[in-house]
Amino acid sequence: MKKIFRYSFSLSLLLLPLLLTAQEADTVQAPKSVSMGFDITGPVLYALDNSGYNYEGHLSYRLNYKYYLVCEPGFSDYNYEQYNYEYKSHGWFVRIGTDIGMLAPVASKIDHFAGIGLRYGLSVFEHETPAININNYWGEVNTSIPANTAHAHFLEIQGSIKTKVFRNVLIGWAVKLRTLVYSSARKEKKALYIPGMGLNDSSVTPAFSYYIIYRIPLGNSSGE
Amino acid sequence: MKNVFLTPVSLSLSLLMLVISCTEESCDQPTGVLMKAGFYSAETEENISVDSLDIYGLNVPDSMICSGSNLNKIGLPLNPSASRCTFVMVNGGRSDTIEILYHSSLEFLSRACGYIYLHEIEEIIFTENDITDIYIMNKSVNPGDEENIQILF
Repeated sequence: MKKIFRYSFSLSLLLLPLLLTAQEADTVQAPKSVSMGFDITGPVLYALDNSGYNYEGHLSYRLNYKYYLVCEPGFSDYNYEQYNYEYKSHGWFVRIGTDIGMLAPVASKIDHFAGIGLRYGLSVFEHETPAININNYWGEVNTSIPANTAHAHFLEIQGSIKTKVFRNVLIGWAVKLRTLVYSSARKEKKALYIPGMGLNDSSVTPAFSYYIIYRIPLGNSSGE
Repeated sequence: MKNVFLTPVSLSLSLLMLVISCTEESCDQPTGVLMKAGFYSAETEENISVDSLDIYGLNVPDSMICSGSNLNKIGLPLNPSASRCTFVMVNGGRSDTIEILYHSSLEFLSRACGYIYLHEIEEIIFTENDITDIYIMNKSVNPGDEENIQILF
């Protein structure tokens, strides 16, 4: 029920930037700019289900109307428990890469963004399995895996939309697909959750972010 | 114009997330780790069925692992807390003991299934009242179907 509410809430937030994008602007400017923002999905999900949290920022530098350099640092804490084990993971991560705009460089669209993004991600985290219970013919075995530090590298491709809601403030969302390239945590110490990447349970991990961003224009350079 | 393309995409994504959120996570992988043993004729080395068979762990006679007739293979659970375990096999009134020496290792299977113990067979010691010989075919005891040992009568 919580999940249904969570995604229904996401649906309303998802559609908001699309409605706002419809408002066409008249001014013609594509200045280089620096943007700072954060992903609100982590705190919202934590408020709905406090089994873990994910806080991440969004920093970008607009080179011109099409290309952006992006850095997304963050920290996350994840806890999972089911009938036969308990798992905990926490650590920091950073994703760096580029956003490539797909909108035409015309006045009405220059303050908005719709395009794809490519990222490389690095995660350094500590994880542990404090309780494992296995039953068989001979009885119950109780064991654990102590905390150990690991690192992981992953890649991400995303599609995103960001739109200006008022002067220098943008909101938007991104749908992301991530794949693990390397993890130092293997075999029984395999990481169930990798901060910055998400669940490590399939070859492709989907993710969703909803951003609030403040853009700082750098002078009046055209950037094009 | 943009909304014509973007709204259907948004709605599809929302529906997808709704479907994902309503899907219960369940373990769909085999998690039972048993040492697979097949029964064979010492003369012809062909797979045979044993008429009447009772198997239990040594010192746990009240808890049968297997009790039946016309069996041509069985799965034996190894004890992850120990490095050896012994089974008593009663075949038509004649009994044998089979002691398995092994080492165990923990492995993470998946988020839904959790952890399992895998085993590596090191040695098998057995009495020869009814059993003629035991061959180790595959030392790795895992959730797969591959036969680990052949018991010859």
